[in-house]
Amino acid sequence: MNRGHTHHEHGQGITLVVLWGLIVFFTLFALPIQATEKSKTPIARGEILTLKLCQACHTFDGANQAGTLGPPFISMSQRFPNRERLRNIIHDPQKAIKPHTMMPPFGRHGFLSKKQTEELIDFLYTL
Amino acid sequence: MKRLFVVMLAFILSFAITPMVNASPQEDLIAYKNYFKKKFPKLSVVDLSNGMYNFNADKRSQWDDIMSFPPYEIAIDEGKQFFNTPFINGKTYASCFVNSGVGIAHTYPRFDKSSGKVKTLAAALNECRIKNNEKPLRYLKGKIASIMAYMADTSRGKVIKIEVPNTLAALAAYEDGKRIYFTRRGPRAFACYSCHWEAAGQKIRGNELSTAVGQATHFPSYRSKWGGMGTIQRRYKGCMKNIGAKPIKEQTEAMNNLEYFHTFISNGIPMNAPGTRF
Repeated sequence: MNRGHTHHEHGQGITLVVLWGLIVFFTLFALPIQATEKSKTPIARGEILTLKLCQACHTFDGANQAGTLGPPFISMSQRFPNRERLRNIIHDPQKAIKPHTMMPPFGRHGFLSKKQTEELIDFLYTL
Repeated sequence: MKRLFVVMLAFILSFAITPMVNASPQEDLIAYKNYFKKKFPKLSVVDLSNGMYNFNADKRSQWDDIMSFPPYEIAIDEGKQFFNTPFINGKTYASCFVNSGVGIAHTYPRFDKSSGKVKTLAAALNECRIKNNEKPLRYLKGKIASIMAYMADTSRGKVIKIEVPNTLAALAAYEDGKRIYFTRRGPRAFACYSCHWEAAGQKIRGNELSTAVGQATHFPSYRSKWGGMGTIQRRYKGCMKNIGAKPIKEQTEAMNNLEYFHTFISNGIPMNAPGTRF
């Protein structure tokens, strides 16, 4: 009996450890993913996309390891008052800027959905 | 009158056709070197072989420190040992190369008239092994990179001297390599040209981009990222992966033609291989 009781306690211990493990895992990893991908505002999601896709070439306030290939993102709403123009550049710069531009066609090649493009522009307009 | 018309037509056509003819490799070489000379007037053509370290004093200083004890030295020693170790039949690699393989690395890749294709130094080494009943080595890194490091070291200081014979096949291989170099690939639609020509000297993320001319002078190289030696085709594959493109397979005709064109455009610049990059 004692042995069975010990086994039962041992089982409870394992359950607790697994439970704690799951809590720690979701606290450390899953929740931030949810926060970055789902629960933040469109501007915050746009910032994440800008860090992921644009900073290799463009610098902006909040960038780390930014490149210098493209112009810096400053005064964006003044420089691009026409949102449609900015949208077209992000979608297909080879068409909207010049055929030989180095900038990738983020929309045309499927890096950004229409919704993500709008979120990215929302963020750019804060710069 | 008819004769006059024919002469005039020929005259007009000669102007129309001229731009359609490709520039010769030699004309390309002059134009490319002049482009970078104009873009970076403070750099000599020899400086171009220093790659990204031309554009960042801090990284240049770190690189200089690393070069006090270059990490490729072990590979040179190993490579020399491999190179001189006889095959089972008693012959060595030296038997397969002119000048016993010493001081010839700066002339590779070569256009091989018998096969009508470009032959890289790595392929020549494996051809030598097969000829002597040995199994070919794995390309890109490891033993073959060490042997190439040793051979390159015997060419250090000699100017890159890639020949493009004036034959249709050789010129076609050169043009194919050039086409690959300038062709956009992958979802980001980058060409080798995109980063290493007009954008050379600029930063992509935290790294300055090296110039196309001069890059081929320092391979094989020890890269800190690799933690070991690698051939130029290993670097091409890494570059293609970085831009999200499907890498061209090593030692294929396309990859060899790319290496042929890319090395040719460093003609006249002293070989500084093996090299070190981080």
